[in-house]
Amino acid sequence: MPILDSQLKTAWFERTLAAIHLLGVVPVLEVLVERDPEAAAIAGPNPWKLGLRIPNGSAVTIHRGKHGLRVVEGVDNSANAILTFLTPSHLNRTFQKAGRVAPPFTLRGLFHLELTKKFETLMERAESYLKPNGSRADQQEIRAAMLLRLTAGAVRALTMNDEAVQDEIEHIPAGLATLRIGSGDGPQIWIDTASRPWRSAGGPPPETPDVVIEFRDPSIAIAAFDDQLDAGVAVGNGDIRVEGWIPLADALNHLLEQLQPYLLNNA
Amino acid sequence: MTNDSPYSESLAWFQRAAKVVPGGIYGHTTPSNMVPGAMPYFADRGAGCRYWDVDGREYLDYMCGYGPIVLGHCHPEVEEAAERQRREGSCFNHPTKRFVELAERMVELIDFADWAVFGKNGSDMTTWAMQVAREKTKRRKVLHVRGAYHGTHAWCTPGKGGLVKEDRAQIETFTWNDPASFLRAVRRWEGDVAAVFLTPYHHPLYTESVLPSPEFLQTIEATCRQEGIVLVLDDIRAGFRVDLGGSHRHFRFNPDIACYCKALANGYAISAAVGRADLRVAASRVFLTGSYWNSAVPMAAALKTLEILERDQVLPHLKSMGERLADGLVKAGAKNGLRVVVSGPPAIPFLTFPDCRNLRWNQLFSVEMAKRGVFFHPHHNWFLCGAHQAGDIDETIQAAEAGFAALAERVAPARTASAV
Repeated sequence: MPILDSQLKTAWFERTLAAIHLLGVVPVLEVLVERDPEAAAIAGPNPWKLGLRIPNGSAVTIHRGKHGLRVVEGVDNSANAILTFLTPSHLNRTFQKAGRVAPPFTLRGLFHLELTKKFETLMERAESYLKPNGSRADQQEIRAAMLLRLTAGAVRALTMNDEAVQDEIEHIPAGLATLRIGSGDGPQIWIDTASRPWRSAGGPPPETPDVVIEFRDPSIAIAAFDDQLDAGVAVGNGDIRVEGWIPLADALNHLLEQLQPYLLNNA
Repeated sequence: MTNDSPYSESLAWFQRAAKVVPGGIYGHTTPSNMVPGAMPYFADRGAGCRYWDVDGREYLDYMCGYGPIVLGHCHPEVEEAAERQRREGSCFNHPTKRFVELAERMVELIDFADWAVFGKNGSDMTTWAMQVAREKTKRRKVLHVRGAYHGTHAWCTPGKGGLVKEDRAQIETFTWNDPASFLRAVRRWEGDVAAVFLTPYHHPLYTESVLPSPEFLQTIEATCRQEGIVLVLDDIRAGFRVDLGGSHRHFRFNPDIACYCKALANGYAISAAVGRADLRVAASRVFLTGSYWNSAVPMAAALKTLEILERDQVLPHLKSMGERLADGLVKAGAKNGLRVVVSGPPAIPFLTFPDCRNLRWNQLFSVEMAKRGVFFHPHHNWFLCGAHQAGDIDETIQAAEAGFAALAERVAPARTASAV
């Protein structure tokens, strides 16, 4: 039942926020490039790999392939460039554009300037979708899919880094949950609470889930992720359908609430 | 969810509620805890062991208002006693004679009780009992079983909103039926444990009920005596359904304080706590009141309910009907190739499918039963009442055979795995 207060503006808060940036926010580029032609054009037609890392902390590699863009946890040493942030705080301030921030170190790569520029442009475009009221009505579908993808990574980041959450997850039922938008081929993510740290990813679950949490449409998903939804009413109305292991859904719902202070910090 | 739903009136009323009530319906009766859209949301009226929802659909009731209805909805004698008192008045500047009569009755019925007090809900009593234990022992810690439900107050609510760490700073847990776990907790907080809270059997939400092992109860009772810890029996769910003298008699242990509520007044709002003589002074020092806590109508209803429970031998009847129901359900499940477990005391049963741990089959089965006029909760233990007769149980089993068949057809491909 941790209520986040100023005391938590500590090293682990910064570490958690940095992990959310890398594991949650950066992967929304997968959705962006898949669904937004302009973003796909920015990513360009040719394959590239860009690593982002914090020493002794989280790391991801962005893979631009012929058929899309994927964000994978960990640094791929064959990346064209690897951007190293000195500390979690350095990364957070860079992502938040908080004042004058020194650029990250580039470990390798002749093309790092070009890739860094691509990455910055893509992230700016992603932010225009992610910010509340920042996207047009016809872009809501993309925003909802991005928020869903962000959730998958952010939850994992939270369980890896937030000390209060780490205590709490010991009491959360072990199981596999799927969150999806619409009942058809809409965007979905899965979260496996049995592993330590939790595993999660975009796409269909690796096996039959214990619980399915389904948002009727993008507007419901957005309201939920923006913390603007009365969940009891939404479930009663059928706007959110929960099928299967209810305690797992409840626990995830509570965990998502604990993401809010980090996301607000990032807004 | 559409207007052609068999629950369209329920849904329409929910829409109205949603405009003016957070959650639409909150607490334990929220649709979120059942199968939204496929079970009723609002009740209209009840009689005996049946009730009707706002769509006019009739149900054999196996929740009984989540327990309070122990004799049947609108039991004529209880209603008459309540009505008689209502004509005299209910809420005065003083308690009425019913207050004394009911306290005397409780002390007479419950073997260890030397005194009784009254509130409105279970949480009123458990929280007050915790304070009495602290007042008596001058200690801080409270131990209870992990996953046990003791009410809605901050120290014990299963909800997560609006809490701060300090709310639970003195609350520690141990594992049901694990004496070693209990002893570890006592040793860890040696000299600082005021109370141990125990339900007579373990009835957590979303899983089977578990009866106590004699060793577990003996260890707890002996340790509490030795360490001067107050043993509080939370008999709110099972009280007056398992044993008229309190569930501790059935399970053979001796608490210091016991809390009751659900089955006490057949649906009228009252709860009670009783305790030993040596806690009387501490009890007198812990402030206890509420605007309606002395209301005479629920006390008149409680007196009549207790009288009928004893006179008509209702509890043996509940046991017999519960056993008939459990036996019938297990056989009906087997007939359809489904393994079914019915756990808990016969009067408070809960059905689970060992081949589906995530309760998805419970949800589907409850929906099928609601279609057939039987209200089974998918996630919470059920309750029988005195109005359930053999014919009602047999009607239920017949419906269950069809319900299990529909379930078996639906889950056939997933029968070997726990699956959504």
